[in-house]
Amino acid sequence: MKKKALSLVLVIAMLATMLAACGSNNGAAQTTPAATAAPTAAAPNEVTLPEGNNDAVVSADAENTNYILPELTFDLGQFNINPLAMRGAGQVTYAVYEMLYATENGIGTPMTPVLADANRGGNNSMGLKGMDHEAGTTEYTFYIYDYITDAAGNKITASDVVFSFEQTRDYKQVTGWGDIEKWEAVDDTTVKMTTTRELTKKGEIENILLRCYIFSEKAFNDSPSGFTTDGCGTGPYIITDFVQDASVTCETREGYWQTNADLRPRSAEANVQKFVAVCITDNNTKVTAAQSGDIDMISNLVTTAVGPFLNNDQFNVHSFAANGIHYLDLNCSPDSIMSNPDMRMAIYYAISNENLANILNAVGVTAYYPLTAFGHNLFSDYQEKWDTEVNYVTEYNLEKSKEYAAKAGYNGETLYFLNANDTSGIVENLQNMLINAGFNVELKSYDRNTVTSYLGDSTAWDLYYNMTNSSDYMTSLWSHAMDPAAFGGHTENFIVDERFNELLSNALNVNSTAEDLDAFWQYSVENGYLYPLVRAVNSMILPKTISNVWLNDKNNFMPGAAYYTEG
Amino acid sequence: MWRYIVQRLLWLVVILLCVSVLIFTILFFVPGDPAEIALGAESTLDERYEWRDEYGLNDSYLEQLGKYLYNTFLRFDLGKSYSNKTPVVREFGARLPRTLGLGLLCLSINIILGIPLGITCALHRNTFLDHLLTVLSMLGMCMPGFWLALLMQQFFGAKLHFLPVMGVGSWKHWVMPVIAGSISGVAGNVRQTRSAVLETIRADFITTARAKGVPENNIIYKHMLPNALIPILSLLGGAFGHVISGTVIIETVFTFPGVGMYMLTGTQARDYPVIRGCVLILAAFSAFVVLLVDLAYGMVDPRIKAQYVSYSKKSKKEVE
Repeated sequence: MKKKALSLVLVIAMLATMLAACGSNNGAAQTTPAATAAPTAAAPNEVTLPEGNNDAVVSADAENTNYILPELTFDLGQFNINPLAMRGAGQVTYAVYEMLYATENGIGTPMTPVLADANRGGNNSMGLKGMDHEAGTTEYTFYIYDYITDAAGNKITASDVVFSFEQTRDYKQVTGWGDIEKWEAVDDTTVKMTTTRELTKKGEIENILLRCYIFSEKAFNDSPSGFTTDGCGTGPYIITDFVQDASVTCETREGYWQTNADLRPRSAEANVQKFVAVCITDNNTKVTAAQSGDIDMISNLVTTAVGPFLNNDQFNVHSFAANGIHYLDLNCSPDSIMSNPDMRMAIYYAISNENLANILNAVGVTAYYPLTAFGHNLFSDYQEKWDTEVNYVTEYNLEKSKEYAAKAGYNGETLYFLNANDTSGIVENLQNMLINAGFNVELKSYDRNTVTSYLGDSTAWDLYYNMTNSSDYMTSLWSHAMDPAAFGGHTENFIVDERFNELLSNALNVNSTAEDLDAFWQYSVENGYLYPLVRAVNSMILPKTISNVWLNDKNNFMPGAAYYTEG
Repeated sequence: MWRYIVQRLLWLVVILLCVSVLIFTILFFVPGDPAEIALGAESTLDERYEWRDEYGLNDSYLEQLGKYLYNTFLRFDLGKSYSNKTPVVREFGARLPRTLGLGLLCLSINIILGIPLGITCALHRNTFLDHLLTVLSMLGMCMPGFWLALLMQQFFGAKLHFLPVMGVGSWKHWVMPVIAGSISGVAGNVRQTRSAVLETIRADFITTARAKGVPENNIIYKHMLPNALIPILSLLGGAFGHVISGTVIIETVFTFPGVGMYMLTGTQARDYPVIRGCVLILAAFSAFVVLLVDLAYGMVDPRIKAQYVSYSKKSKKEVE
């Protein structure tokens, strides 16, 4: 009897403990409600989406008070501080090293010279200072200042620029450099780049000039770790401490080389004396670390987790448009029922982007916005007129869906929906929408790396959910998803259409017009090739001392470039 | 006895060879392309082919296996990480002290708390103290370590601002990870020790010792505990073997930069040299720990030591 009573007490205690723990969720981790829930109105704490990244500031009117913040600690997702790694710790490498150019104000904005000499060059179709290029040729000439030095006092010459480009190429983490034949130093301040063909695709030049940090060959060779655990660049910061996979500390450098304030871009400012970037990848840990004071701010947080920081005395929540889109691919190969255009239309009309966004936003903040085209207004080449066009993207019509399904001869066959298992929140809602419309949809969820191995198998899936992003133009989004070169002669979703490829190629050309872009989009819509879903809003949690932030073209927070106020 | 140890060490090499072939084969057939992960989805097929060529990933299975075994066992080179091009051995070595420190601290608490509490439970069987410790140990065994870790972060970090919730630095950074990592071990050890001591407590030699008037402390620590240690040693041996690999969840929650996180990120990125290298080192460590535990059995129980010695003599006779 005693033992039974004890067992009962034990069970109740365990249940109570588990329920207490689950109930203490403070909004840091949210699950997406089922798609059958009716769309809800946005809560009073809705975060307003800024109009493009140019306005991605805490306060649009804030001016630089020239106050130098003593110290700032924030999170870092990627911990590779090697300047050769393009998927590394951008917040650190961008502060320690510099490139020939930087963007003026983040994604999609014009390039501005940093190491490139703004007083020379300019003879090119882009009007870019520091560069000469004659149309129709395959030679590009860059000029650098003759007074650039790095943190160790090494003078940077053209041969260092050549060395940097070659090292970056040999590290094999950059893409799209296959047409570069060679770089050579003409003299101490002139570099010539020769390509196998003229670079006429939009974004190709940016992909070279904005993807290579410049450093001294001597400093690189002197480094005991090849810049893996230490560094020496021309930027306004130096690395003073490094703990692998834990933290990296940077402090302002004495004697930064660019003393002409007019030529010093925003990316080269140093408004914080010292910053410590701490490696945290998990969103819940970021929230807890900010609440406990272990970090002063969160540089990148999923918007669904900002709850604890809304209406908070210590923090501001600042949201900015993510530079990517979420989209749906339908398998256009003969191996799939989706090769039938009517079947594609049936699927498209059964999905409502607005409803999807409302469901995902049901946690009380606006984390997603519905898309009306394969891109959004963050990019300078986006066309506003697409927002008001009536097509299957903007129209949700179950009757039309059923008509198209009947026309396609759909008889309840199972449709396989391939997706990465970290996207289940969105994908399950899509599945529910399609089931409600009468489709038999089965999810095939795997880890992201396994998904890519199934993607190339046209018999393995009918629908595929994916995300893509771009740091310069909307057409780069199109290229990432639809360039046949990346997938062996067909697009990601097995489209084999010469006209489609031709229109895409026209749109990608550096001299493309708005009509070229519109022609591609309209052709895609007519044939039901592309289906954009939503775009995400990312957030930063900032202390009240930050009045203005600056993001680079990769949407990385730049601690030195932010504006701070005292207290 | 030495002959026994040498024979076991030789078997260790064979075990490592088998583990290497096994892990290589598994990774060879696991879906996922490290080239696409390293270069990104926007890379072209040609770029990915070139990348794979650089790392020999376009070669046949036997060619790749041959090169891998040659580099690992003859050149002692575990390769370089695909993502940051650093030698696996160096990266592993940089992280090992932290993970080892965390694991050994957890193990020490496991021993210091688990064994005495288990003995207490056994000696006070069916009393309130025994029941209380039983309930607590069952709670400790049922609670998932990561859940406890998250709770502690919220309570001690976010609410009380008492302890840091992540990273490494001062001794304060170690408190929560050590507690979260040791709770279930202590709980298990209490149960195992209680059970082992209860078996021994009823033995005839204990009754004889009591009848002879031996002090109770001497009975417990000189007669009872050595006989109860065999199953406890097995448990502790297993726990010691998990010292490096078992802390991955704790390291992830507390952003504790150790071997576990290194393996996790390597696995997610299909960083084959990292995965192979870490598995091999862990296999060597585990095999070595098993050998130590077997030798510890011999130290605790002379009958087992005699078996080792006679086994060695028998092997020597067969050779002659």
